Amino acid sequence: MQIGVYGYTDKRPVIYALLKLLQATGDVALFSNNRHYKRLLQPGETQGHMANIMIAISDASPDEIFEEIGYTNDDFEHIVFDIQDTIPENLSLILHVKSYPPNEDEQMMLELLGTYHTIKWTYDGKREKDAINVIPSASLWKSVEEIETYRALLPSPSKELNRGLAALMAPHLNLSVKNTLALLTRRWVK
Amino acid sequence: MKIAVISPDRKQGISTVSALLGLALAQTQNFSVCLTYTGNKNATLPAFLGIQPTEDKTRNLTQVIKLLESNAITGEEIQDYCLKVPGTTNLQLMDTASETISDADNSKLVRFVIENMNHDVVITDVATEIYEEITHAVIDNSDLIVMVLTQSREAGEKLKYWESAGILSHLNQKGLVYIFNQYDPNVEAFRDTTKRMGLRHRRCAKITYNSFIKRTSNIGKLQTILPYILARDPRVIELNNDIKECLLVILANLGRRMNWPKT
Repeated sequence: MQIGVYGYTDKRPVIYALLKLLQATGDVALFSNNRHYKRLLQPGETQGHMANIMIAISDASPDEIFEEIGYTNDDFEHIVFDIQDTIPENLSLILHVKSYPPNEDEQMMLELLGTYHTIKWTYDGKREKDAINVIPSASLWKSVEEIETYRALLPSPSKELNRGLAALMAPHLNLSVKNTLALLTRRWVK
Repeated sequence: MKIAVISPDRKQGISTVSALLGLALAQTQNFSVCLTYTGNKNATLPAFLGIQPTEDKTRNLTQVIKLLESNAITGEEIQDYCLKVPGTTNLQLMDTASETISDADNSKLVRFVIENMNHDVVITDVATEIYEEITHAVIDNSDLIVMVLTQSREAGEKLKYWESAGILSHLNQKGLVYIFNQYDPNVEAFRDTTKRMGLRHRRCAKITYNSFIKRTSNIGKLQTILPYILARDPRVIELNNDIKECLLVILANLGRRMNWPKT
């Protein structure tokens, strides 16, 4: 499946949780122009692997990226696009990660995205209806730092994020919510 | 279809891969599958599948050898000596090893078995050395060779040695695919592994390391893992995609289509 993740805020906790879940069910690729993901690769690399997940950091559009990496989308079971200005074709699921209300540009892009699911970091203390509301706790960002430092997909400490993603992703992966949650919260030892 | 499972190095998991392939082909593709193996001292495959050696005076291997020597057994009759793998459908094992027969007789029997089995798929776990006559006979009789490797440096070096010795080019003529056993993504990405070993990625598949494979094979119940794999149990979920990829690579190289059961 192809998943688009959009939002001006920091989307890493969502993307890492998605990668952790998806890698259990097939070959995964992450495409982003966010240089921060270089931390997951070997020094100096902009394209490489963390465990078996292909990560390509590039400003190329979704169409151009496959030419750049030398693979086709059929080479991957799952692809996560960190959406910037161009919306990839054939997305099975779009996630919007937000914190405070989006500005005009972000709002305009959201209108183009069509149907999407919202994950909200509740910095403002307000919960949004039909969204996965996640408290942006210190432990959430600590886990992001640990993932990047150790280059290992540790589970997210956020129960709201794990439960929300499990419920959202289970039908797409043809898994039960219970098993999806088990994959999201699985620790290092299999 | 006759498949030979070999490896350039020892202890790479040929028997494990043979058994998992046999189980998957029998239970997902509905093929009748017969597992067999070379070597008179290799009882790994029956042990993994919980098949105990039985002493049946009416149908023991010594008797089969005598029948073979006197040309008194037909190809079809050898099917009667297959053992059903407990808890499975469509999967049988032809036990060709016994303390009561010589290595030469064992080779003769294996060859006869491979040539005469009429199962849809016959998988041979080649535990003998590449230079042995029985190994050559099995390879020559096979439609596809599955080479089992691991991510270890030694396996790569042995593979290079086989390449320089011209063994790989001979195997390639028969059709050769690679399965990396005990694959660990934390060692190396799979694409990097195949690149490092100079193999075509599309001819390679992997079986991710999973403690439940060792656990179930140690107690002679390897076959019990497959229903969990097919049900995508979180403990073995990686193996679902791995086995699917293995069958895809193998069946594509045998000119067959694969239908993977939907959960």
